[in-house]
Amino acid sequence: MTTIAVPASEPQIAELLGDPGGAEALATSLYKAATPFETFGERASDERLISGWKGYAYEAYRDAAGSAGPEHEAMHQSVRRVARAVTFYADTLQTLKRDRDDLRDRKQRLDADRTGLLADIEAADDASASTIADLQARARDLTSRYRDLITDHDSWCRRVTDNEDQLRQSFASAKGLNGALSATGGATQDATDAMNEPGAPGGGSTPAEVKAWWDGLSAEERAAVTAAYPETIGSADGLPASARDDANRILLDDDLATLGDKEADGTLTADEKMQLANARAARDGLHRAESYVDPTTGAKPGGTLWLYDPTAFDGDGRVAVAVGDMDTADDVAVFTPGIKSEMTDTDFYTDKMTNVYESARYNGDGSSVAAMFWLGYDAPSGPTDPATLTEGRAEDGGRRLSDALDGLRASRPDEAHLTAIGHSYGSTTTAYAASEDDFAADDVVLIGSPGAGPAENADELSVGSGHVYVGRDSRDGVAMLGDEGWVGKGPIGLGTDPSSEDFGATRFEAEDVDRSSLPNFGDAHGSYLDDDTESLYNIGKIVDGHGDDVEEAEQSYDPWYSGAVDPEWDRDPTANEPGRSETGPDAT
Amino acid sequence: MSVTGIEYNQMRSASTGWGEQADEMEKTSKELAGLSVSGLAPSVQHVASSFMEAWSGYAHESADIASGFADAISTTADHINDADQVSKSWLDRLDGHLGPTR
Repeated sequence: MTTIAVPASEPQIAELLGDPGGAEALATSLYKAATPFETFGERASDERLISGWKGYAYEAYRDAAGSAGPEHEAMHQSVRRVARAVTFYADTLQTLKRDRDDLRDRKQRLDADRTGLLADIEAADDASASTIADLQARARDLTSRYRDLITDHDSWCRRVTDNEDQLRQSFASAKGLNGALSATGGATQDATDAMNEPGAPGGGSTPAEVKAWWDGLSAEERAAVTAAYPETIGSADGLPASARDDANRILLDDDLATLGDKEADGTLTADEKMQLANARAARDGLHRAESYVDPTTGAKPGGTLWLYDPTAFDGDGRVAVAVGDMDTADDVAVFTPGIKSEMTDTDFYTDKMTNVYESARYNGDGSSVAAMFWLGYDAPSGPTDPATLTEGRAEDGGRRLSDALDGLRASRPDEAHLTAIGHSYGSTTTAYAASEDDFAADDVVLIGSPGAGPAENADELSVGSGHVYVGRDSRDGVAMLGDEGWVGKGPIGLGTDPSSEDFGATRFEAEDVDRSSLPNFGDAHGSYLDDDTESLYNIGKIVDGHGDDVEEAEQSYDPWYSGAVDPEWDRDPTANEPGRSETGPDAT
Repeated sequence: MSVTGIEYNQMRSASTGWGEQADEMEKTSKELAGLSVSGLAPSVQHVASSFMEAWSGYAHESADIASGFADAISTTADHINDADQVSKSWLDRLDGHLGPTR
């Protein structure tokens, strides 16, 4: 008598209660309900000083309005905090719904295998020893897979409970008037306690300390601080990208709902109009990242809203949107744009990030990739902006970029391959960042560069000259501004041309088949990340960790007997050529 | 106090603004009371409903405060205006002339 232990069909996949769409609608209504409390507070402050009214009666009125103003501003923050908690709940509910579908599908597959095993056992009269051994092995495998499913299901159930508990606490904390009017504005006790722990972001903690703080929080505490303090969590260097993304999506939803409502009412101020435009641009970019399908796998690598600050820099905004998983990708690229870049360009640049992602994957070694558009600095607004001619913004931006990459490094337990790409003025910004001793990137790519800022040669960048790569289209007028040899060009550039011989970086092919016969500041400067170009092909190779495989180009130089010479000027460019400029499958 | 005075139109405008704010708060109060919590899990719905009820009340109270400000400013302006008219009538009877025209 042989016994084959077939596992029971379990667990029963629990129902998920609640509707993400309904919850999101409730959040939108709460954002709307918060606004009148805000206008009350503003009115109380504005109209405390009613022009021309003086005397005892006025003083009595002023005192009353003086207390009503701050109270209503606190009430506004409380309702808003609850609305954000509902947004977080709705987003989490959506994720839980997807995860439940996965669990259900796994269970169905296991049950089908179990039914097949039972049928085979039933049919196995007088089975041979090897048949019995095979049936036993299948039963053991099935038992192991059911056990894994049970574990994952238990974990999923806990997440469901945590999500509900968190929202319940948010409502409860903000229900009483005393709590709503307190300094914490109705934040839950979990949230305020966690934010008072050492290493919490916002108090001068280093990215590593912030990471340690986050690692020490329970799932409930993480959810609590995300819902209550999304501004802080969304921009905290050192936190996992997924945590920042959760928080920034709350802020985005808040802005879209609150400002969209004001727009409908016709009460949008000029500043708010810019803020709403920035929010919509971030939404569109994020949607593009989420919709993108990796042609090598047919899967969606997903999108991340890594930074969201639509009121920064006098309304230009700060934003970072990534394609791919920033927390787990083997290869991570961070792209810094140049002059004229504003938050409203997010969708455009996210599209370019899908190109970088695709090139790195299509010509890559199979490693996973993430590519992020980072606009975390105040880029000069255009050629006529005096800031364009100086390196101040690049220097400041370099510090910010360096901090951002420090945060990325600290947020991950592993050593991802990290590439910093800078275009135009952003290349000068990147050079400033890379001139810091402990710059966190492994490779640096400068494209269309008007100059490498503080670095006169590639060795001055902390990654070392062997890891500095430069792309320059021979017709790119901006890339001609830097000094290329023994005679400088005066104040028109921003340092040494990194494509020049003197600089000593690896120059890669970056000519465009559509190039014109004359230098220009248009297409030649703006096509480095276009599909099926030499430039994108080589950038993909570098991002994938194979900078040694780029198609090298001869460096420019400036002999004493003539003007600067670019050997690439007369070379015939390629496009969509396998192994040289093909960056993805041809469109069908 | 060494100075007293009003600009009547400014006070009227402020009063009107507070009146509009009161209407807005009353509308918000009703909307909060009517919000559906059915999209939330049942374990959350009760506390969510309590929150809506409480905040509907706060919004109603805010409407009363705004309305009180509106009325107070308007009434004060009227009182000062009335007092000014009374004073004017009294002061109109003053005669500052000398001689036969007095």
